[in-house]
Amino acid sequence: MQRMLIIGAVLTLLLIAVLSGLGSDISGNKDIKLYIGCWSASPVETDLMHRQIALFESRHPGVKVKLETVSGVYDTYIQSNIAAGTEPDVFFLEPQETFVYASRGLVLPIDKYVSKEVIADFYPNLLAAFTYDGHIYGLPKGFNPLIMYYNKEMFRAAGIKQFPKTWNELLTACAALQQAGAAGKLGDSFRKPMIVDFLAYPYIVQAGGQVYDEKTNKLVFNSPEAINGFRFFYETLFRDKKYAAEAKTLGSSGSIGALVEKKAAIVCSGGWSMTGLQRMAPDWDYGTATLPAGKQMGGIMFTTAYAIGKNTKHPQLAAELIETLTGTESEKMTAAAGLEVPPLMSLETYYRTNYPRCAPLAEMAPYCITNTFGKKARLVMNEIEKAASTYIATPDGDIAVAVNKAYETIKKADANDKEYNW
Amino acid sequence: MNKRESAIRKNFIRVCFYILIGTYALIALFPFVWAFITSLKPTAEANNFSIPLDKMSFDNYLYIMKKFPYLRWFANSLAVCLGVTIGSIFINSLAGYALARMNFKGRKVMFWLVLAMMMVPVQVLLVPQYVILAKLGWINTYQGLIVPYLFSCFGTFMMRQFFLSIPRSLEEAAMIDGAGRFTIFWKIIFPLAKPAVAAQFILTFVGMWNEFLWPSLIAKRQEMYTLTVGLNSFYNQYAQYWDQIQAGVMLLSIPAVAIFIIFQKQFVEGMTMGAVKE
Amino acid sequence: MVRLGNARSDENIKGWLFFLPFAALASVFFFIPLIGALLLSFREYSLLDGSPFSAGRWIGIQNYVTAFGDPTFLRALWNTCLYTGITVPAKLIISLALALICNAKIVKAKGFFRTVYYIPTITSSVAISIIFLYLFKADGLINMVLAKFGVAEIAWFYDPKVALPIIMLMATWAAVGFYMVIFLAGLQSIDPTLYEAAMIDGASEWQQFLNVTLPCLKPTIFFNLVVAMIGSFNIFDFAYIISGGLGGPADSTMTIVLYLYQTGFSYLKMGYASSIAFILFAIILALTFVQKQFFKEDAE
Repeated sequence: MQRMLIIGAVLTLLLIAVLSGLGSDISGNKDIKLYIGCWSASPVETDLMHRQIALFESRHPGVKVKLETVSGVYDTYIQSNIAAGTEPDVFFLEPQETFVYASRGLVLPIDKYVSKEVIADFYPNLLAAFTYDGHIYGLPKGFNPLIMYYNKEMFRAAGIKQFPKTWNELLTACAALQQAGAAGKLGDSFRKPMIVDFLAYPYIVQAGGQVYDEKTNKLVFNSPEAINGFRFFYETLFRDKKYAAEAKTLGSSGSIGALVEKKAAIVCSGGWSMTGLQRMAPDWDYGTATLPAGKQMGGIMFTTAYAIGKNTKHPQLAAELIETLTGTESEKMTAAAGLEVPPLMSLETYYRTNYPRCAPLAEMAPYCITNTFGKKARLVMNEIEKAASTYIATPDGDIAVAVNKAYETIKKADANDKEYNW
Repeated sequence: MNKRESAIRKNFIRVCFYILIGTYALIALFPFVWAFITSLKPTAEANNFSIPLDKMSFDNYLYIMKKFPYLRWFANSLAVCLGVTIGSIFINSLAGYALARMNFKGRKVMFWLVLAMMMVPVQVLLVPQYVILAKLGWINTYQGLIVPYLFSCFGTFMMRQFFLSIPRSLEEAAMIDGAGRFTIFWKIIFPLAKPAVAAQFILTFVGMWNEFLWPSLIAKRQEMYTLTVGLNSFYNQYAQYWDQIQAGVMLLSIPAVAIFIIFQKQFVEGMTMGAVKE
Repeated sequence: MVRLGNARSDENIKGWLFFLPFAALASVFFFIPLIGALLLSFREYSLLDGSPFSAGRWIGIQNYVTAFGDPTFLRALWNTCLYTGITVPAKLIISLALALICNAKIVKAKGFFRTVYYIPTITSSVAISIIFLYLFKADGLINMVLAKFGVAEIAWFYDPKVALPIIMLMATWAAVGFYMVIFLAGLQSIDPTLYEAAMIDGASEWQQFLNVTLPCLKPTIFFNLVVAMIGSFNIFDFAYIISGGLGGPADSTMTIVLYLYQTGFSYLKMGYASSIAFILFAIILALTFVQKQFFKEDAE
């Protein structure tokens, strides 16, 4: 046995030596190396980033860019790296992290390195998600509002002429769908009219409320208007009428899987689902529409920006990299990949003309909030989710109780830090 | 009870036995088997309970192995797991033996320290460890992946328990013959620990194979990923494609199963004979 | 003859030499980070503040005090204790039974059964979670089978009353193979002459089990018990993957380590997270100490 172990040890050392010798695929010792820390939610996304990087490298000979795609949890990765001082030159920044990172000076104000013309081309409400204390800390690479996807055949079978434009029309449509489903007109797999991935944020805005008021630094998701939004979503759709179900209970093929498998007629999801739909049901003519409006039109959009880490040795080059990655050519590639909507106003017409099915995405843009919810944005999002899942699990009484409990929990957690005004 | 009745009774017990273990075997295997079946199906069929034999193939596996540096990741995992397993077997056995049979000052304290070390939740050490490794310049290196795992409290504890069960008479006899401590250990006691070493080999190797949190932090660039880390990045990207995900699961699990099959035969079978030879 | 006097210090040095590789590695890769983490527990610190060894504001034992007034932490504590109290006995009893089966004379194809029982353990927790999420989804296999028996659809992982028990089931299913392998190693090092002697004395199978097997397995049982308890208290993987890191629904799957992780990385309170870790450590240490008293050992 000992002999085998010793032989094994020697062989292992050999293997390691060979593998180490293989080296990495970033070549050239004289090149300047830039690293981008990011995540990827699909192979299409990774390919896209590689093409955009190739564009930058072709314009900047002597500079090589390498992606550090995080395999685990992005938070753990970026925070460990910042603690150790090994963070990449450029990395993804999300709206809910902007306050946290910018207030600590961990990202550089990108408006110092990029020209005003370039900045002026971005949608203002997108840039607002990455603005802190008057400076911009990231350039968004795209955005994805929530829209409605629906099964046109099911709508026809249920006798619905056009996609609902108001809350009342939505309820009527769901009722019709549920009846048609019970009558067997929508196939055997049909379960519910609507499947949702995300929470009540769009409906909060549509009811005239907000989650967070930046001017006063106050959380306002328990205002009467916001609660109306919660109420419509949870009490009406989930509890009373039972028109909706949560996607995750159906397994992680998600809401889009449910749509493709004809389990539901309406699904609320972001633009990123289009690639999934393309793959799962390549020739299907599915419908897309903007969200039905409540008191007003509203929605939520998700976006990620590239930010420059404070320890980078090449801030100007990093800024140019970001500029290329979010510039016109790159964004045309993004649009073609069908992953996000380009964040540039100058591309809006191009986008609408070339990708008519994506029109609702562009239409939603002006009405959407981003999840910049102050310095404890994460906690806010988690507590709201907790309130929702508690409520859905024990659906009696008033959603306002769960929402207020979330509010009080956050208030207590902030008691010492005072990062919000109460 | 006459002979015939007792024979029937024995067979009855035997049959019951087999039913019991067979049932549990099914329970143990079923999720795995289902994952395997799903991995062979095309995406459109992945979510339902059919077994469409005409549409099943190994396409998903080929796709993953072509699109991702599977072979490199596999080699990385192999190198890291073997390095950790073999290295830690030596280090743990030495330490375990010292704790079990050698009278050194502070031994009791050391044992409690080893136990106590196991009780600390690893997540809290994650970042300080990372910072230390960054200072050593071992981020994204093989030594960074291997060295922190070369000592295992669990392994040392296990070897200690095992060495305790070996009769002292063996060592005393050898000492009377004038053998030195290390010789006794290496030539007499350690070989007797075959079952425990085999168990440690399997457990450490498989544990390291599946280890995710730490390697995902240390291996920052794709070519350094271990198989688990690489396939996890794959899971993130293909969350909606059940068939491919299950293929990924299979690609990750099958090598580990193979190691188990090989080693459980080699060391564990028929080792009762090696326990005490007088 | 063995020399006295010198022998003692000789033994001392040799003992330390054997122990040295372990001790050296442990100092660098465990104790230094541990001290860093301990100091963190007395500070207000987030990873974004810089090095964990130096940054952050000193606040004494405030983190520890906060923990005991924190409803989520207390819930996590309750969940974890419940989880441990149920899964540890289950894991040990089932794994011992399986090991005995795999070792029994009646059974043929032992290798086959050993491998089959170990497969859940080899599979990574990510893979297992994916498989179970798939089987237990709202329109999944399990619900379909139950529907045939007229049982209403259960939300399984999304029902606060059911989520944690299902995770217990999953974890037990997955872990049993691990303890089985260790019990097997223990069983196979029992001297067969002891069994022969017992049979000559006329002992039945059950008596042999009680009087030969169990006593000889004592060190192994102690080992498995301690490891299982530590592992259960530290449950993280399954809870994290199933709940998406949130400990939901409604904190029903929030375990101590999951809360620690969330507090440190999501809420940026690494100091507080460290204090939670040390509270957990203290609990486990106390319990292990109690267990050791029951398992007096011959280590001299």
